[in-house]
Amino acid sequence: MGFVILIHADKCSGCQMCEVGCSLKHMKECNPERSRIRMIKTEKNGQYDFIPSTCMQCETAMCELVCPVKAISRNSETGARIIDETKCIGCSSCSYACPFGACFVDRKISKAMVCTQCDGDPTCVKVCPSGALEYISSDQVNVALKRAASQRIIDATAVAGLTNNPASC
Amino acid sequence: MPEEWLYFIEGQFLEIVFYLFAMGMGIRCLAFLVNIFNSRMFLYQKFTWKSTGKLLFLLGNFLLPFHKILLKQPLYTILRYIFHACLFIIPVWYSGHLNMLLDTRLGWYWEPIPDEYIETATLVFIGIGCLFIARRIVFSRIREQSSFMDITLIMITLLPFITGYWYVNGTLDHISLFEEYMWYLHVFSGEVMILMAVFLFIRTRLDAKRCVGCESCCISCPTGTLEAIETANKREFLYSHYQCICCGTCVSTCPETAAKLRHEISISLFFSFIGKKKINEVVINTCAGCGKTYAPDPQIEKINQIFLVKKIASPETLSYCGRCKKLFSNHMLLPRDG
Repeated sequence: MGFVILIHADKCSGCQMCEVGCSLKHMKECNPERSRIRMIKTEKNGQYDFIPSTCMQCETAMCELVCPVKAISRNSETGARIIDETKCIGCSSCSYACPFGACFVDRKISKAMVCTQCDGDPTCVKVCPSGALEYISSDQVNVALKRAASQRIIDATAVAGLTNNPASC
Repeated sequence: MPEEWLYFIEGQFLEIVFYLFAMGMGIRCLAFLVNIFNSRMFLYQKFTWKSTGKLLFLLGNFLLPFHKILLKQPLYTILRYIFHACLFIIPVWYSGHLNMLLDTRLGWYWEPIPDEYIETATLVFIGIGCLFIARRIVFSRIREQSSFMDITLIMITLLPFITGYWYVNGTLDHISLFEEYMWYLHVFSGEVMILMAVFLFIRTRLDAKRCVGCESCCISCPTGTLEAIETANKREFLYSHYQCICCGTCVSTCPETAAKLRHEISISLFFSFIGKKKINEVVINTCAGCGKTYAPDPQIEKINQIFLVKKIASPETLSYCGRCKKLFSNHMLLPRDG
């Protein structure tokens, strides 16, 4: 079972610290354009939405399927997609096939780039000040959601004047 | 009158041919240097020791090309190696040539290879050459690709070897015409071959049917010979023949095996010292979201084909550029059916 970077879009403040940290760690320069995680900003009726966007670690990865030189493989420990830079020819097939636009070809070194989760220690998660990013095992992704849902049920039953004791129902 | 012509061919013309050859090669080296120092690669990218070393290593690839084709057609490639090695070794290390050209003129020569080895090598060389011609004529797939020039090229290369073999062994001496003129035929065909070598270029070609326009040949090219420029809705591939070092990186990189290195004799190419030639062009798609060009049409077609084969529904995002994809897929704004 792999690990994923879970995104809580509602907590994101749009500070772009993740982009800066990622490009500094991997490209040795502060350039959000070359970062593997991008913060997408949209405006609707004067209200701004910030959503960090990165590799979703698809189970059947489109990028892996279309790569003509089979340069994309899975890291056996974390389950993250890694690109063999010696094999990559920079044809950008992966970037066209990726449904999320997470895979891209760096124009400076002409190699495809994708989130490697920093080999199990993601920099973006460490630098995120608002806690919008979370690095967890992929089977734990919906545990928090389930807890929240059950909490809502408990609250609703409490409001309705019922107890959460199944015996009294 | 014919006698004088024959003496001219045998004596003076041979010297003139050697001088022309040296001059032609000098001009080609000069044009190569001018083109290299004017290239985008040299002007805008730093040349480090590592990249220079890599370039020198690739320059050696020209002599021993280990291309991807070695795995695909091993027999043909090995025969090609033997053919080119014989082409160089036989004339340079044959005792007769060394006696006539070096010993009598300079009084100095290098150790020749024994005649019986040379004779066997010549027979092997002629045999392989005939095989190459037969291959071009017999197989319909190769016949479509090869022009009349390709066969003529092999013929011209074979002629001095055939005439030389007949002259030394006296095979056709019972025909008086050949007995008298075989020597001059040999010298003349050799001169033609040497002159041809001046105008011989090894050119990269992109197969328009196979090329998807992914630009990876241009990215991997170590000298910046291949360039891709983008016009309004087309991606054009430019090639400058004097910059090419025939390293075959484009051949081994191309994922579609569309790039090919082929011989070409061209006098007009020799005299166009600076300048690039358009060798291929592909149409670029426009993004359905923002309307900007983003990907070559054949490449998207190919990705669709892969999804069809693997029986996976191809994502709607294929017709969007990277930025629009991020916006739409993250905000679930993609137009969906129903």
